[in-house]
Amino acid sequence: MTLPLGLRERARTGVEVAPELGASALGDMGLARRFLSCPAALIGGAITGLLVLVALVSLVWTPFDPNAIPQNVHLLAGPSGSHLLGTDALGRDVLSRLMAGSRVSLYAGVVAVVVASVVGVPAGLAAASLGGSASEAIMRLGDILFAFPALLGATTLTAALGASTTTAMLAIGIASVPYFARVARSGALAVLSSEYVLAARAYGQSRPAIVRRHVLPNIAPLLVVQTTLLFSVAILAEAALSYLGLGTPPPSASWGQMLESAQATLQTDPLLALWPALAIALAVLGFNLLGDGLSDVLDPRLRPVA
Amino acid sequence: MSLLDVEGLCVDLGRVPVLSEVSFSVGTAERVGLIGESGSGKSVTALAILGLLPASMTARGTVRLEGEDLLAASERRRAQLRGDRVAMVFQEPTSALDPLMRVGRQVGEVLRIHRGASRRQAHAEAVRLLGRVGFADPEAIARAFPHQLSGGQRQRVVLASAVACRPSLVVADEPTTALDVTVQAQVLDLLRHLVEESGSALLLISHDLAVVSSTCERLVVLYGGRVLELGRTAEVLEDPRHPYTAGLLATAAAVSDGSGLRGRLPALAGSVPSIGAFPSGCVYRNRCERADEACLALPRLESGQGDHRFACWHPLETGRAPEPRTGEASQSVVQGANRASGEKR
Repeated sequence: MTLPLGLRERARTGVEVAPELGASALGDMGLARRFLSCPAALIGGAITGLLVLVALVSLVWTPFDPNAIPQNVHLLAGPSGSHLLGTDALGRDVLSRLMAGSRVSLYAGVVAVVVASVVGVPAGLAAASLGGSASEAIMRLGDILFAFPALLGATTLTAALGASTTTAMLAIGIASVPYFARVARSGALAVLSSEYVLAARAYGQSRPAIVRRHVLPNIAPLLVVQTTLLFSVAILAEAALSYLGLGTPPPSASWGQMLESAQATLQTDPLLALWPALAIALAVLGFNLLGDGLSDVLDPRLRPVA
Repeated sequence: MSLLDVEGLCVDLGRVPVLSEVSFSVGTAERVGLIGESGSGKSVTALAILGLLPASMTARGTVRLEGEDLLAASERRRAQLRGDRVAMVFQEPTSALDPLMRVGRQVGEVLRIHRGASRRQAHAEAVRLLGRVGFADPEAIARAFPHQLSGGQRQRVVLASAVACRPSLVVADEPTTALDVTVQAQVLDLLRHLVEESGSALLLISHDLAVVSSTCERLVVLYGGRVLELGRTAEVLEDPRHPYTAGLLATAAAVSDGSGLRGRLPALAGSVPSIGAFPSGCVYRNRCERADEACLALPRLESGQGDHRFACWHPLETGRAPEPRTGEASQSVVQGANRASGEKR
């Protein structure tokens, strides 16, 4: 599995994006308007919004129980009135499983993002504000992590801890730590060299307080974009790992797993593979669009001059 | 003992000297102007006093504030003094304010750090301070973000946070340079008013002779990282002894009295060398008309009348300027400065 280009590129070009952060964006009134006038952000937002909505609804209601194997039903039934997307090889309702699967995908994203940002952001901020050999040590450690294949890490961790969504995403989160560290560091370096940080030091503010009060809010847009992009990476990774049997264990519904079980009947029931594949593609597209859109919306360089 | 005693301050950028043997003092509640062209080391002097030099620069010598050596003090101790005993006003108010922080919070921040004020107390005090710097509706300003204010308003905000703790010294680095000409006078006037009110001394750094001479009681002329001349404002302006000071006065006067409009503007020959490229001996000798072999040796600060001092082997004679026009001109700068300060009151 390779990480999508967008994320990789952003981690690399963070340095170039950051110096423009001076007049930052979150406190701006025109944010909503800029969001609405950006097609990528709007479409991405709609898709991810729908995904979240479906996941929330699936918590309280699905047409059928997504996991229980029912008695006396048609296996591999085509779409019908009661089973809108048909049933799978065990007679479970595909729509219900798709809905429940969205929950797993979102959960995967959340775990990966939390792990990556909780470790990566403080590491990047520390590297930026400490400088010198401490910075070198932190970033080189990140490089080592960078060089380690994420999927191999996930396999190893699964072997040690047993297959579960959490374990798989722990591995993806750890593998994504360097991205967050790099983005946080490059953004923080730009903010730390700004005059308002010098001014804050001139009125006696301590280094940690400067990082907390000035740096973090000012690099928030960068982190938001990074978070969105990691979501799509995590959804894809969860699907891939579940497909390989290393992610979400049955019977819990997961899109990757549905894809895997549909493979057996691909010749006779190709639709069964189509639905989870579409769901994965749509979710990844949605988060990528949202991330790209947000990076445009939050980028001060592209902001119309007031 | 003065409030601020800078003695033999040297700052190096790697092996390149940026400031050499800079010595001057600022008395309690005194207003001192530090004047020089770009690249003369004015801002570095300010940063050195506050202990905010970039890591690439090292400082030697002593900077005593109320008897305490700041260069020898720990970073923790210096952070305690910054904002509390010595405050700084930056040139560019737009970049000196965090774009994401409400103005009131930025002003109150100083009080939270040094006075242990609660959020609420800091806000109330910030509103009061914003009122003091002339905002008609300080409550609304306190809730505003920096981008909602004009340049002059932002600089008022910066001034408010500078005097929040009634520091004994305010260092203002080109506080009006980035502002509209119409606003410059107001901000300068406000700055003087504020330091008077809080009993603070002022170290005003500027390249603008009119700004400094209308505000300050004493002047320090900096060039090439060295003090060339210092003394009471009137003495330095009326009776400049260093050819560099005289040259600066001539250029300023030609503009202010309009005589320059009838011909070529007088200008100092050559341009300021870059850091590290200043000549040995007298730093001004490669641009000075009076330079000769004697200037190959470093001139020391010689005493003139009173506390007027200058570093030159061939000083202008006292009471007589080299070119007649310069003499008249420097008078008119003084008068112009007086006029300006009179109008502003």
